[in-house]
Amino acid sequence: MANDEARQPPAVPDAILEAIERAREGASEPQARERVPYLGFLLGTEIYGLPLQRLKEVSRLTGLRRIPGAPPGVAGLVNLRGEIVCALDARAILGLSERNREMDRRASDGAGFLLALRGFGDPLGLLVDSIADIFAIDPDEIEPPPSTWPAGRAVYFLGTTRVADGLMGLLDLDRLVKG
Amino acid sequence: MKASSTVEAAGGRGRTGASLTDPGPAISLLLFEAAGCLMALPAAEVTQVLMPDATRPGGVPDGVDLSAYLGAGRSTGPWVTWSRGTRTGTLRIDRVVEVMSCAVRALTPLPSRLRVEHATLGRSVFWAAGVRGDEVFLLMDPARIEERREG
Repeated sequence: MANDEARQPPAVPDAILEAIERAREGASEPQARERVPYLGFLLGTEIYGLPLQRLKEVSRLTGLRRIPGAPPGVAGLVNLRGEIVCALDARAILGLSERNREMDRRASDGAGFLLALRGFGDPLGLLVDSIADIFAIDPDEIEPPPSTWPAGRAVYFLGTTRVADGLMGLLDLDRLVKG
Repeated sequence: MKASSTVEAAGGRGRTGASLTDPGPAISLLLFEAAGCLMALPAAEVTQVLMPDATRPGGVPDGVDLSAYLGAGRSTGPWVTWSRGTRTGTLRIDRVVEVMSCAVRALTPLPSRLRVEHATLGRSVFWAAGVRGDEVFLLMDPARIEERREG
């Protein structure tokens, strides 16, 4: 339906997919000051980042199977070309409220994306609203989370860094997955 | 009108002389919906599907409403009776979808975040997941529900 099509989030830009592919293959481009490539993504209007090396792929979210009684941090299971991926709800883990979620859903006008992760025993993915860009982050420019953030939220971050879109929270993926 | 039907149990089928393209042993599953979710039971364990408009001596079966058990409203569909050795039980579900054959190796153990160490009432009844087309289904162990009822 036309309305459904209009609600679809924009496709992941080719440049982002290619960057993920390069990171997966272990290829490294010469980077000034050994900057680390991060994928920036949005939850509502806030921007977050995780290292490309921890990403297996990015795909549009379809067919999420919610699990009755699952912990709040688990959104459900997704069939990713035959592989069953446990999808984590980044919003729930980071404590973003339902009220904000609904507001943000209207604002973002999209169904979201699944970031398939690598380096964990089970196939895991992270649900996000939309993809922002690839950012080359200088490790020296990473700062601790602002002291104004609640401690329960700050534990999920390695730090923050300033990008054009604002302050980007760099996720501690291992901590996030542990819940 | 009595409207009960029995699902034939195909059970697991072993194979020999497997090749690279051999899907390996398969299991027949009864797929159904409950609690807004696609679920499955081994068809070999299903002994009867009693439709919701059926009447029988003794009234409605003494079973577990699966949607209510999982905290998702009430089921309004048929009752499914299962049996494993000397154990038996009845579950009320929303709808029978189909009986399908599924390669055992296509089933994926439930991710660790959803298994026993994180289990509460609802989670521990599932032990694996599979796919039907693009859809994910959950393979459940009905005996775990009975254990909780008895325990």
